[in-house]
Amino acid sequence: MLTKLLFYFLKFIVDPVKGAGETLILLGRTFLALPYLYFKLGETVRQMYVSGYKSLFVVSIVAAFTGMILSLQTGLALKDYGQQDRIGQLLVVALTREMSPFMTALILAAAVGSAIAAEVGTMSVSEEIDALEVMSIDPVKYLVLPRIVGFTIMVPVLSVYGTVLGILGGGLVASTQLNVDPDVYYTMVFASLKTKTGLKDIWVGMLKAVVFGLTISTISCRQGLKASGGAIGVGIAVRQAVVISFLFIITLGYFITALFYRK
Amino acid sequence: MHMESYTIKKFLEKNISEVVGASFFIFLIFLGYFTMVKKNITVVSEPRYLPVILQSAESLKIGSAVTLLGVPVGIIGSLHYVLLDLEGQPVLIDRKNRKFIKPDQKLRAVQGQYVVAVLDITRNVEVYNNYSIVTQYPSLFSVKTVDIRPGRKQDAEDPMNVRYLSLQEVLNLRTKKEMPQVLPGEVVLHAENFGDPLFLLTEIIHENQKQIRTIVSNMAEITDKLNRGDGNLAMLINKRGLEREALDVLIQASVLSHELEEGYESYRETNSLIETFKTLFGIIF
Repeated sequence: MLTKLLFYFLKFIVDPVKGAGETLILLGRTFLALPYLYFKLGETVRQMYVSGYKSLFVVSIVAAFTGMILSLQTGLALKDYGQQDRIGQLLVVALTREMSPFMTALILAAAVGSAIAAEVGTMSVSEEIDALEVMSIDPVKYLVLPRIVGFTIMVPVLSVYGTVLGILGGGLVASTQLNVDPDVYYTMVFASLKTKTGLKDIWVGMLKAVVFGLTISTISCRQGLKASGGAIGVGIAVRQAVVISFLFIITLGYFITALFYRK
Repeated sequence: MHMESYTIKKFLEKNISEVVGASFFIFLIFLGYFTMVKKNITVVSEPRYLPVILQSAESLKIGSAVTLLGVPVGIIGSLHYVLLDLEGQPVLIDRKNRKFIKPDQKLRAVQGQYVVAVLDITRNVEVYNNYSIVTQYPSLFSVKTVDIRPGRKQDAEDPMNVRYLSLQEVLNLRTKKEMPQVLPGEVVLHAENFGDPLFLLTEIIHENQKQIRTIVSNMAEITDKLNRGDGNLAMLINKRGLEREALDVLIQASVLSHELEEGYESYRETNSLIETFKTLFGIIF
């Protein structure tokens, strides 16, 4: 009984460690396979289309409403102090630094990351990956590379798009619900963006989006590649991919913020 | 030794995922310690709130940039319409209760209507008597900015005791419209707001519309006369053969200048000969 408990405890510790190691090794192998990207350009573009264009509608709605909610909530609180004119500044900081890359990453992890895990997982359980290896085709170059590259390119693009929509949505609510002059709102937005901190916010936000893109796509691919046990195995891989992606998005988001803004 | 290294190599080959994963988690734990547990002492520079009095806030808006000798130091935080009494003290009216609220409740003579702009700046500015705060356009089509020129120290002059606002005073000003009192010895700075150059231009055009119309009509009349060949100037311009005569004059001028040039060269040659003879005779006689 005690041995069994010890076994489960060790498994509880070792499994995530092994999983993280395998994911990082997969990422390393993908980097090494980057020169072969030229031969997989078509598939990479297809992955970009799936990750970017297909998620555009969801990202648009979520980004616009995130901006509107932020604007309304902070505006109502700031109104008590006569500071509602500052909403533009606040929204720029919140969206560029954190909210936009974070929300985009969550949406893409749920919508696209899960699809990648399911697709690769199905191939794995139906032994298609083994067949590729038998034919001396590296699954990393053939399957993982275009998915990781395509996904990682689209996350920052959608993040910037989300920021713009969030600012526009926030501006709409600020002018109609909080009586903030649109001219003042956009002056504040541009004043905030043009400062040294504003530019830093933009590139740190972009860096976050790239890191999130790499994290989600690599985790999803790894979960898919390790899927086993038929349809149930694919389901588990998809669930694991989404859960682990969410955990790492939030953890890495904090670390990047702390590293770049901690003085 | 050889056996040991062989074992480590074998172990790494067999458990590379675990080793990489463990390294990653150890790295995260270190990162967590430095970013979450370890205390971080930061020196945060508090913003300063500098109120300045303007004749008008024309073309200025909240968020417009504030510069110190051209260097960006902040933005306009808020704009407030105020009445100043004869002593230069703000007289504010609580519009809800229709009464004077600060600094006393008595009705006072008002010298004029002004705007107080609260500048949110990141540093303390030492201002001298010869200071100036002006609004300007960095370029013709850019947004208006406020430039602080703090002036220079003359003799043993001390910097002016400029009135800054605390955060609480700024909040009171924004929410309750309470203008803080200015204590004796404290100075509230004044700024000059120059108009928009394009607006001024349109204003000048608007004011001088009649004269401009007359000028344009005169010009039209002159050009019309020129086209029709009326008037002395027009007759001269339209005279047949004018071009030919002008060309003759130019040819003659050219011939003249050529001859002058030749004459000058001949004179120089003759002169040098005379000078030679002069020298020679000078030596002989």
